[in-house]
Amino acid sequence: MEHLVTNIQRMCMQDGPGIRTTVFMKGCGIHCPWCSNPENLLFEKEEYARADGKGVYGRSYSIDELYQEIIKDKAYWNPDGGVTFSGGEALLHMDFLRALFQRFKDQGVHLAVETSLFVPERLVQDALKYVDFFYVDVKILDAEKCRTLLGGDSMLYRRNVDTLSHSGKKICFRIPCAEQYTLQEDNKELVLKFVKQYREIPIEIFKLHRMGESKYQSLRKQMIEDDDCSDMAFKDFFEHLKQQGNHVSVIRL
Amino acid sequence: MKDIYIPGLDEDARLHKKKQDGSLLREREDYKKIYAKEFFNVYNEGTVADGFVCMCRNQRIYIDENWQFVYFIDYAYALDKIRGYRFGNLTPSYEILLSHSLSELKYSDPATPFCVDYNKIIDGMECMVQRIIEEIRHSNTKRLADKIKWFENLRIKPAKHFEEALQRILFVNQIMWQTDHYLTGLGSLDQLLYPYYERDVKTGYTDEKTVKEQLREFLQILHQYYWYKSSMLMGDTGQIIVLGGSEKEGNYRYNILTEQFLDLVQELQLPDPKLLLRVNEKTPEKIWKKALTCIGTGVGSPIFSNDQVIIPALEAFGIEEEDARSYGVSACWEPLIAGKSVSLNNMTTLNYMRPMENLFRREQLSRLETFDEFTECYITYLGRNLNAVKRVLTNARFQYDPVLSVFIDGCREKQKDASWGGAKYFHAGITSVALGNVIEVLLNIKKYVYEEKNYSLIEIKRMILTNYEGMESEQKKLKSKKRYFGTDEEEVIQLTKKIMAATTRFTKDYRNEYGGKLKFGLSAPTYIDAAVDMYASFDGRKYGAPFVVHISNETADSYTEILNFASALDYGENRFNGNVIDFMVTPDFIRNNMDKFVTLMKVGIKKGIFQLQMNVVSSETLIRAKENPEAFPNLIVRVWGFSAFFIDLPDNYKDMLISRALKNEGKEG
Repeated sequence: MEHLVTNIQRMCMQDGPGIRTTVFMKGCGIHCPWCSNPENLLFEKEEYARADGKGVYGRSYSIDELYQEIIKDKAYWNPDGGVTFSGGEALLHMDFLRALFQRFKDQGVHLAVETSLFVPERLVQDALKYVDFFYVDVKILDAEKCRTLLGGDSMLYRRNVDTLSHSGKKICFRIPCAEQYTLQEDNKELVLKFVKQYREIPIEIFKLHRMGESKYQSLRKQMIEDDDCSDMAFKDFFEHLKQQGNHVSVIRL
Repeated sequence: MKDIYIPGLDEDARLHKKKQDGSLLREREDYKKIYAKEFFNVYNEGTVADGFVCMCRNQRIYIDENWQFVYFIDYAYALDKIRGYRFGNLTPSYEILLSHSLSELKYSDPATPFCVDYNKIIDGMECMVQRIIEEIRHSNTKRLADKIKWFENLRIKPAKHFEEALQRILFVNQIMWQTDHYLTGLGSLDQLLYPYYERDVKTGYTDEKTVKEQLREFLQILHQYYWYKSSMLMGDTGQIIVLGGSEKEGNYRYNILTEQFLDLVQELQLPDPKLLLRVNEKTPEKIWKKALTCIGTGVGSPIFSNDQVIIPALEAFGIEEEDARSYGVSACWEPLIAGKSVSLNNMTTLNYMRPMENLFRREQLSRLETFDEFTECYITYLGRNLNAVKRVLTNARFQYDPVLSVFIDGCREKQKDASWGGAKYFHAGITSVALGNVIEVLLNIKKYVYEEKNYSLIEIKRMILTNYEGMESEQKKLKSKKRYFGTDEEEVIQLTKKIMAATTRFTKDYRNEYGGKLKFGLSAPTYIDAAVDMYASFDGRKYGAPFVVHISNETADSYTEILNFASALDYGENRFNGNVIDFMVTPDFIRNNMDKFVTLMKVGIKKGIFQLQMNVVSSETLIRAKENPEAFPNLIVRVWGFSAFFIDLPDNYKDMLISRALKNEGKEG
């Protein structure tokens, strides 16, 4: 498996505490229909064509190259910022990233990942040695739907969440809201029930955005249209979470 | 602006109202009839000092009864006796008239022609003061008795109270404008006024709330005559109030007035006066937040200035330690020792693109076989260009200026006019433009000519001279790529430093006739005007299109990238004449990330950026305001180094701001 990077985004204000540099890894274990980073689904390089020319999504770095690139903003990570690994599924690149994580950990750099947690349990165990903060997606929880819609094993997901929740690490749930998918009535009930067990874990909810549309076009793919969420449904969901005692906040990505 | 009274404009509604009220305000036409003959005769035949005295006798005195302070400019009688280089872009020493009375300043035994002229200036001011007192007596003004007392004191004793100090600052400032000194700064007012504030509060003479009210009025008064004070563009007034500072041991210096000025500028939402906040590593969180909240409202102020870089640079240049620590700035950003320096900091602009253009037009391009040879050749042409710049400076002759000399430390003691070297500091400053474009051109040439060999220099010459005729796709490609200048790639930083060091090499031996040295910086107001007659350049810039604004890069990945770039540059030797980073920021960005933005700024200061200003606007607002100006009469933007109403700007400035905002938001290019 190749370990490619599609983007190193500096000065991210939304990907964890403080000012952060976010690294987007290419390749994911699932395929959410609403995905806003379609260039990060496959593990191999992909050609794209945009108005300003052709190019390739995905660049391979040595650990040292990646380190040098990320470390440029180290000065801005005090007091609480750091590096966030996203994707794709960052944890599926654990075998590659391990050495980099170690290097940052040695320097006391705060590390975060954004993960869907549809990954082998050993990778989660491994990540726990280095990562300080986990953003964990909550998406589709019905086993059958999860398999067909996302291509994921919901039991594995639930076990991984459980492992993380007992690790003592900081966690934050992120729930993408789309009425046709995550907020579809049955799933919404499952999600509410699921997060109720973890009331100590804060939740961020957000509406999907269409900023990935141009990336779909550049890959000659079609972005789904039924990804919207009415203000009413969004607010209703927010209130539900609040009522059952979850710490919930709204973010705009 | 329509509610601001402008003397001399008979059409002005308020003037008519006054006239109907039978007030003492006299009409400009009457004045002309009575005094014009005498006025203009003296003007043409006497010295500047005689002209000043005549002006003081004749200019119209106007007491606005609604204000508690007196301030007026009669531009129909402005002194404009221009002989040589005009002094402006300066901050007078307000302190001189706070700690002295007019009579104290006079020479008891004027031995030289300068002393005679100096005394005439004081006489002229005394005459004006007397006339003001008379006018107050006959008015129904607020605080009539106090006003009379303040002006009587002005003649015979130093200022005692806070409000009196404010009135004297206004008086000096008014004299400067009235005598045609353009871009008159206000200096470090929080520091200057604090002792008066402290004493008055201690003795119960005033309180915090009263002082704030007075400062509010003070700012509103200074915003009057906005268009008269504007120089090249509306809003270009140079009315900068400097706030904050550093103690000797590095602690941050600020006081309650620092906070009040920030609060008031935020509240008033006027583009003028402008604020510059001096900062260092120890600037407290609360000041950062106040300042960022203020600028987050879109008012354009404050601009930030890094003491930790600027003070050492000034000292190394030869400015005394205490003076360096009390630095202010000229109209935009160029460090200036207020009240002690008549260094003109913007005497001319170095256009970095000019030598590049000359190189392409005159050089035998085929002999430049390597990138290093090309760069060295550019530097040779740069040297020739700087020789021309130095000739311009050497040929400048300054206006004899006894009025300014009263308000510049050193002139009185040395019995020398400011234009004869009376001031403590008399350096020459130039600004520069287009270094960002030149770095781009050089690195493009390195890549496309010497590494990838896609084009020859001859082909590039053709692109430049024909404005990319038949090579539109090349132009588009060059224009849309991520720009080098302002990124933290080591190669970009090193090349920029190299060109800056070369500029120093060609300028450091320059001395003007009073021994003043030459300094330069990477910010200039001319990024549009200086580009007008310039050929296209090999960075996708077409004929006449604007240059890069100061230190900016809207295609950079993040603000951190440009902060890293700017802090890696070396502002030592003579490279400190204003080096401002220019950000475009959306209003939401600061609002939603206040704490993180404070961190960003603090780190930037610690790493060693020089100065930073921000345009806090969204492209959407700017586009709507251009289409529908009536709906956005109060929208403020930052141009050059000042804030102005967007609707007052020429279209090419509006377009440039829109284009930068779009790029910053990732919507274009």
